[in-house]
Amino acid sequence: MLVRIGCALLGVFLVALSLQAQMLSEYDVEAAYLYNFGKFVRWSNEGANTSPTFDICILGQDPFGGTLDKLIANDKIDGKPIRKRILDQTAESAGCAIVYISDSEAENVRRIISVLSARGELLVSGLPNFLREGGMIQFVVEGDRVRFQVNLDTAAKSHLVLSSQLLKVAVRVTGSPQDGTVR
Amino acid sequence: MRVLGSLLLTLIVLPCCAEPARHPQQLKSLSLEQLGNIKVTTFSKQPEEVWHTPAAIYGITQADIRRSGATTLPELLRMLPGVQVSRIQSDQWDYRFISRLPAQNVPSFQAMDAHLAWPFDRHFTIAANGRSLLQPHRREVTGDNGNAVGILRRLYASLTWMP
Repeated sequence: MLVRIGCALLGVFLVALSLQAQMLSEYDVEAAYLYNFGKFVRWSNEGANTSPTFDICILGQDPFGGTLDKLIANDKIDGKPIRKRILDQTAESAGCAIVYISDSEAENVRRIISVLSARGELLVSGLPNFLREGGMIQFVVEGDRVRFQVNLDTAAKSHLVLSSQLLKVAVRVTGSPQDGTVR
Repeated sequence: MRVLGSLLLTLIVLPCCAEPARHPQQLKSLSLEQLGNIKVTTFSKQPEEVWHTPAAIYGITQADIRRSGATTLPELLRMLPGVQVSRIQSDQWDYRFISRLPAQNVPSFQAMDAHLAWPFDRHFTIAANGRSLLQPHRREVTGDNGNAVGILRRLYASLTWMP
């Protein structure tokens, strides 16, 4: 019954834990896009232009887990310090340059867009059908990479001017460029 | 009483990523084009398994096993630094690796794949208190409660071993 001590070296037992410790999530990359969009869009709404800060607003739950805060810390766009704001309701969006509609608002997206669509803010989300519902930039994950689509018609309604560089990178652009929509 | 067949348990921790790890803060210096080329983990898809060179090796000796009082393999895995093993049901186990996310500086569960392997030998056994630890076994656990610390990450753990 008793196994001899000699059998100690019968085998080597390996346990390998493979960790995805440092792998970035789609939200990390989305946060970086949000930070970048400010450089490629020109606003004409008074709220955003008169605000002393460049506000990136999140409607609903913040999915970025601190990444956005890290990216915008001590940074400026158009000479204004960038600030993150969490909105509980659409009425709080005054002064926002970008409004990111979080996944937590999936059920209210239509109502949210109907309220915000003409306020001059850049509406961004990763929710499916966001562009069709009236959004301006929608994140899509294609082959494990985060890309974005642009709807020029809704951007024009909010008098946003999008850089051609932004449109060049977009994986899909819907709507037709109107006078002053693209620079 | 059956004695532990192997005196040596070698545990290798491998970092696994489809591509070199990037810190979220590094994203800041990337252009729109570069951002579109970063491979990410998403909710819908599990990350790819890629084996790299060992980052750390933990050795557990027969004496360690005796002292631990472990009678099952999951209990042995629990001895690994940072690994949390919890029982879901009588025959279901959940494996998680606890670490600190560099950006958030909070403890976080991370995706973990555990692979156990040893050279084939019919007589090889690991047993404790008369019970073999080498049960034919294959188990995959996928957790959906990735919100453990408010960071939206899907937990993925699998443990596979074939005697």
